[in-house]
Amino acid sequence: MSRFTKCLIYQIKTKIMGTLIFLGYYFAISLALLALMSISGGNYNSTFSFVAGIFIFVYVIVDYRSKTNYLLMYGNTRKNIFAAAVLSNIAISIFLTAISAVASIIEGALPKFTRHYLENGGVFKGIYPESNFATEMLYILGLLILISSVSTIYGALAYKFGKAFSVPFWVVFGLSFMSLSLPGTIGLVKAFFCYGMPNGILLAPINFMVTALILYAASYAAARRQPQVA
Amino acid sequence: MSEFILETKMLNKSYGDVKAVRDFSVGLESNKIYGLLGRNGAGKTTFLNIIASRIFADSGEVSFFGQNAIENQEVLEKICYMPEKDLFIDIDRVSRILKTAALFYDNFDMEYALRLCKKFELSVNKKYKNLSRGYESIIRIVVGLASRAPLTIFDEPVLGLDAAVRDLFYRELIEDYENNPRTYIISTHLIEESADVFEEALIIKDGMLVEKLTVEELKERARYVSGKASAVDEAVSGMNIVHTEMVGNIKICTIFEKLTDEKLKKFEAAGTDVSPVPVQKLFIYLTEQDKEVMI
Repeated sequence: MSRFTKCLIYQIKTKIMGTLIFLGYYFAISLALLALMSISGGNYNSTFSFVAGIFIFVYVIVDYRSKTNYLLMYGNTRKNIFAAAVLSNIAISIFLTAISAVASIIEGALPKFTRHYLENGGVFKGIYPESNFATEMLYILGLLILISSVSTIYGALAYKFGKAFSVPFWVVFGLSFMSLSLPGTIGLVKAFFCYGMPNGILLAPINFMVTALILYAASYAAARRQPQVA
Repeated sequence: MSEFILETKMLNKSYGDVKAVRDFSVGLESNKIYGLLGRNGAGKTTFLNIIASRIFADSGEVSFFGQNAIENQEVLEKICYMPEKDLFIDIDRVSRILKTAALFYDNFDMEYALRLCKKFELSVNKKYKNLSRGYESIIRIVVGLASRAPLTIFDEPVLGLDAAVRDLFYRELIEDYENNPRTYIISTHLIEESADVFEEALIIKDGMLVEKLTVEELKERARYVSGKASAVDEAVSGMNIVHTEMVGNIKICTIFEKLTDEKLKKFEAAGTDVSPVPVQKLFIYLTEQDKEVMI
């Protein structure tokens, strides 16, 4: 077995374990909320894809430094470590998308009080009128891969530059929300997400994947000759 | 193919104005235990990090059996480097750490690793984050020894260990080395107790290799020459003096060079006393800045 395969097995195994722990917590809380709604008569809205996005964003960032150091310690090259990290991120994105699909199907079959969100068409129907279950899942997959690539470049740059990168990043990140009020910014965001465009639900994942590819390539450029930072 | 398992040529590494490794050239033979000795900040860890591709040299070459070792997967998988720094995953249990090591090192001996855990009283169910400093060192020792990697490197392996556990480590190292010969590089400050384990000592000072010789040579070459100042000065004139100190009226010079019968007779003729130098003391003298000590 090649070292790349070993790195990949290790990365996927540990990330699946981390993801399962997250799912355990998520579904335990969801079931508790569901039970609460059934008693109070309120509406339960699915938030799995949203929470999965936040999870993958945080998890990939936190994981980057520790796994890079750990796998370097076992005599793996940066190239193998990085390639395995990217593929395992994609694998986790696929896994979370599959869970999202299963969660949607289950929610559809649940009693009416849980279906307020679905009956109103959810987020997708409002933005992409021609969306269907399959295209929605494709969209979620593309978005999760994009988020993992953003986290990877964050991880690679934070590993390389430490606080000199991470502090300004979060300041800019915070300010970027304010910039949404600037003229033209919303238009750019809408264009990136193909908001309201015909077949936007199919076109947006292409934007996501191209951007993810660029970010992953930039991350590798930062990581390939990076000395170990303990 | 090179005669050396590991060879470095003119390695240089700087951090800002500080030269951590300077013109470091050395060839290490297969199946030998090398002690890497140097004071704090001498460049030991930087040197080890370079040969294991953890960091990159500014210039110079590192080869493993003649093959370029830098970021070369074929080479790196034959090296097991257990650093002093904490790189394990906090939440992993010892058993998981051993399984991961077994995944990456083809010759990893799990049975032996578990036996070592028992001997060192390390519970495999404990999480890494709950281990004391001593047990953190022990898990490194277990992984390094059981890896059976052709080149196994320990950076300060006995940190935080009490004398009995240190002794157990040296005994296990020798025993496993006899059964499974390979090349070890062990960086340590505890020279006296580990000197008998090393076959050769590499002494680093200010990022440079100042000596590479067997421990026997090291011991044979060093002598205290003591007596009246004038007699000592006469006896050691023209010799390599690595340390001088005055205790009252007695002058003690530590010389370090190959001693011939002729030289020994010269000491006798001058009326000086000659005695062996403990290895730890010699190491201090070889790596300290030049100075005379007055007591």
